[in-house]
Amino acid sequence: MKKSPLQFAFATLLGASLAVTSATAFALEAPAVNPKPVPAPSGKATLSPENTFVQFVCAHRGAKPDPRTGTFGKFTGAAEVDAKAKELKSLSLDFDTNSLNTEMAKLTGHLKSPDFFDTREHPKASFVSKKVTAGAKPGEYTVTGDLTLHGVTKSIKAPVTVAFSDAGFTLTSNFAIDRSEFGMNYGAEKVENTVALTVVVGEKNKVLADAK
Amino acid sequence: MLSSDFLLKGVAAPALAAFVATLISFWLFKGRRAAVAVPFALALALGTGLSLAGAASWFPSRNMHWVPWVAVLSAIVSPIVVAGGLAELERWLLAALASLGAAAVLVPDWPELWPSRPVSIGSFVLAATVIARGLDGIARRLPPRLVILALWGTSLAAAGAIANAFSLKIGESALITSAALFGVTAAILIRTDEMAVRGLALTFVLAVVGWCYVVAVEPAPPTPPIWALLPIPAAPLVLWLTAIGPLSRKGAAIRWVVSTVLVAGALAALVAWAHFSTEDAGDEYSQASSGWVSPASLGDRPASAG
Repeated sequence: MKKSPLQFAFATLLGASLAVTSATAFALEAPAVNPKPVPAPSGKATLSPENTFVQFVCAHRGAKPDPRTGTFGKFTGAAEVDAKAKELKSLSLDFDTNSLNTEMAKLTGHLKSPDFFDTREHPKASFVSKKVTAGAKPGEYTVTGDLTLHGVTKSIKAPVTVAFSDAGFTLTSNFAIDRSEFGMNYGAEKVENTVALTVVVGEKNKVLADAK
Repeated sequence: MLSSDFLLKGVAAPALAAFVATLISFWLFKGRRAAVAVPFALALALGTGLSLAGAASWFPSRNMHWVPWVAVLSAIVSPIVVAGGLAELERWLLAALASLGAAAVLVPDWPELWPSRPVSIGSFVLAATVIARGLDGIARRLPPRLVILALWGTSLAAAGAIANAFSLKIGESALITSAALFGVTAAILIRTDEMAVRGLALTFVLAVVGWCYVVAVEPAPPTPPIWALLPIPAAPLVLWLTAIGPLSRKGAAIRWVVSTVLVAGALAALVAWAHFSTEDAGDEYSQASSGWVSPASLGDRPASAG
């Protein structure tokens, strides 16, 4: 299709730049394989980057997905468990979106911009569980809760595996969200809408390169 | 990339609205009256583009939301600054007062703001006033067509640099301003009017300085501010080199060519600076990712929005 002069002028100006700045893409770090149990005195554990690993991963569309990893340097949370019955009761996490970091400073800046998290407008993100349903096998649960991201709150379901020991418990969850459902519609033609998330309680979070 | 919907509502519509409104104002008014009418045509087009593209914040809650309002409201003050019967000092004071009003809403009150809010407001007022008055001086000495093309080119470069260095979403909002200015420019290219260009100077400055400033300070720590955006609105001031001195005595064709090269060169250099100042960690596409493993290897991952 022939472009108008104005369209061509702006496209020329932006074309090269968007090729370098735009899409969300993250390098995926392998999550912990042997998390260390977190103690839960009187059934409650406080979660922080010291004992909880959180990452999100998104890839480009097309032949060269180049997935990239992101995380949050600051967050707090809580998990309620019944150690005797070996049951997960609840889970909550609150993120400081300004602590978002990736391996690339420019990507970090872009993710914080209004194209994605808009961290000035929405400095907080959170997850609060509403229902915990036991799965078929011991230690398996489906956690239903409200995820608030980019000022939008949606109910999500996440599979969770919890392991109990005398020293405490560990929790692992891998799930995915559709970023467009949270109003993050930028670059849908180049970047996947599906964002994979990993939460591991019992593993220290990893601050990525540019935030160090 | 820009969607066809945005190109229609955010680019074509404001450009057409500005073009038609400016031509009508030229038909109705001349001279100093045109200086009043054209900024209003620009404001009308800006409002049209922002409304259609859904980029307007009708109830601004933060500094970035105020930029379009500042541009629209400045259409009232901008012609007064170039009105007849005013002393030069009064023109400077009026421009400074308008800039102060803009700075009051555009400079944020974040605790981490650097320089401090009072210093930032002072710097904003000084820069906007000097650029606005400098452009007025240039518009009195150079052909209106040349000056308006320089203003439009600068607004376009600012929008591109914002989209490149920070956010496409905000770049689009800045592009609406540029599209509206394009409509005015096209009308002035057809029917030239010095007063119309002079009357636009302050509106142009507050809109473009506004966008560049709010974006420059927007990144939250530890991401550094994008200072390289700030000089872009001042690029047309290089026209002083052809407005006064030896170059001003050259023929019209040479002045046009030299002026065009100067402005284009300044804008290219500033946009490149803005681009490379945010390139310190490589780009998002070519940099090798580390430690990637297939998402599938992380276990079941049911999509879960429920």
